[in-house]
Amino acid sequence: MENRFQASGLQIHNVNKWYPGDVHAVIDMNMEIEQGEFIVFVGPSGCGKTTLLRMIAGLEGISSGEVIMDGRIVNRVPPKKRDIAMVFQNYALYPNMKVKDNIAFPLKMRHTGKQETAVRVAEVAEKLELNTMLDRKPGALSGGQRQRVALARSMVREPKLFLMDEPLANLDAKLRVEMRREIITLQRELGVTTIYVTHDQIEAMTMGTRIAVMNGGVLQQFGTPQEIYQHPANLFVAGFIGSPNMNLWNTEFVSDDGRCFLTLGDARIPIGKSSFPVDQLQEPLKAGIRPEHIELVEPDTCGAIQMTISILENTGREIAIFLAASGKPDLAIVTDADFSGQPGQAVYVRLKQEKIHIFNAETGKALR
Amino acid sequence: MKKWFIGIILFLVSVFIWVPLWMLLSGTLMGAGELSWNLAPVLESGDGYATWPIIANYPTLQAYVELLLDTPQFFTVFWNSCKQVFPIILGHIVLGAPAAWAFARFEFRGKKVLYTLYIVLMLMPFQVTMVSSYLVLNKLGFIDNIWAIILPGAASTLPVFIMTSFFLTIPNAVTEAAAVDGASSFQTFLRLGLPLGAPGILSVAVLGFLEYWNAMEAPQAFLKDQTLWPLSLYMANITADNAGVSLIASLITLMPPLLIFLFGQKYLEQGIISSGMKD
Repeated sequence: MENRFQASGLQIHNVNKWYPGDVHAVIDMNMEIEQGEFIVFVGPSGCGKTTLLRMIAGLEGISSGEVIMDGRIVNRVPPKKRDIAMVFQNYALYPNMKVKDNIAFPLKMRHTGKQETAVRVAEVAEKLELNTMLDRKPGALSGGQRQRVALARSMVREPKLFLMDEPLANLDAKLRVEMRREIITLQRELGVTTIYVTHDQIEAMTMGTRIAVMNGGVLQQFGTPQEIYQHPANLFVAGFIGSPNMNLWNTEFVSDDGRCFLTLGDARIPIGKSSFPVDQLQEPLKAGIRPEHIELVEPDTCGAIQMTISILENTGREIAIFLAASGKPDLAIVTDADFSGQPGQAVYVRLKQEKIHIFNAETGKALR
Repeated sequence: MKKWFIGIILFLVSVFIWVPLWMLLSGTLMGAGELSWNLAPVLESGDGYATWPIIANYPTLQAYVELLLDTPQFFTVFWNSCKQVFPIILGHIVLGAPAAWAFARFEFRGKKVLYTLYIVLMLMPFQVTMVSSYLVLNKLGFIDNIWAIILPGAASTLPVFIMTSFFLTIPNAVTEAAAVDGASSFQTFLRLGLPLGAPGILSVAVLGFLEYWNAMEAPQAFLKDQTLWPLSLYMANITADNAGVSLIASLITLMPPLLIFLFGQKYLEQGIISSGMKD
């Protein structure tokens, strides 16, 4: 199938959504989305990601602010005139229609000729391996097949924007990984601007060219997966993205005899002074470090901290070790799958100081 | 043993229920003489009880011949019933389905009040609105006209109520998907609402047929001209000396509802369940 899709840019300016009863579901949302990008909205349930998607689709009114597509404010444009395609979480196939009629529906609604409709349905069915089930009804399909039909229905037209609302949430783990790849491949081929909503951080990290992390209706951070992972803008993003979660603890900045330290409970971690905004370090602070940035070391290593293994989680590829010690916060680390320790055993760890994040404990904002 | 016992009890109960129908059937095969002989004790203020043989003593098709060949009036009446009932059902669907769709799918000012009003009207028995209906129909010049039966029947609120509850079961996502796919509200109703709400629409048709086929009050109140009477009224006015004809007429009157019931039982049950009531 040649690329006949027209990509579209999207701007979201100060968008708010209030529901009756003074529920402020989306708060002052601002985003600039380039043509052809794959944007993922991620956040816990109730964070406003689906509401924002529905506002972009025109299924939900916009309380204030503007949604701009291709330079045109579309706040009051009904969904059918927005030139978008949407995949719903529960697929929302038309149960009374055969698969081929489901796929053809958007074309019929636009008065596409019969012959052209047939050609396009055949093309898209071929691409999504639906040829053999075109005459079946959705009720006779498995979850994965229904999902494909929903994708096919959204792709058969020439939308300027793809919207996907947790389309993989109802699939089993294996199928989810397969479909994830399929969607990425399709999106790259077609080059259509795509907005994908999920609560799954793995999906967000693997699929998005940029990720919008949302919480409580507020955009927390909008950036590439690397930016989000390596430079979380605040405590929420730091804690939400990454598995096991980033280790976070209350810390103090200590300057002693010209050397600088961060406290880890009753232990001290030496840090290089130059890399920290020292003048801001007087406020209550939180420090964070990713599990993979803590290494197991020999007892006599400089800066080694003794802790006890409380739980081991073996995923086969690696082992997550949860550590505890009196007077220190619990820490999670990941290490090679050939690690042979047992719960209760003492180990020594060292934190890679250049990988430590520091946050203002009150505002949550990242200081480094 | 237990099953066997229950079987006998159920058999007896069903015999009890079927007896009147069997009497109807066997009565149609009795001659006029035999019928009046059997019924004399109750009809001619004689003493004792009417007797009714299980099978006619002198079976004859005389009454069938009389009704089907010599009583053209019966067909007029049958046709009257059809002329009144089918337009009413059509009205239920043509007027009621869009109204129900609006209640189920759209948010508009006054929706709640309007819907409550619909329910109140639905619960009101005919006798309550009879006088006001008569006055309105009279003013419109519809008294003694089948439109006096068809119009109020077609605008009945029960079908709207039933279809609304069926339309409400269609997931929002489906109609939203249609909106994104470019369907107008009307196209969504036509291509998704009607097919997906079909069980509700059929329920309404079956319930409506049974209700209006057997209705007596409205025709009695609004139709003075006997040539417009439907079967339900005609049946009630057959005299005792015509008992044989009356039995066959009953049998024929029974047929359409029976067939509708046989083919539409599923929808009838769904309709009764969804309306939460039965009249």
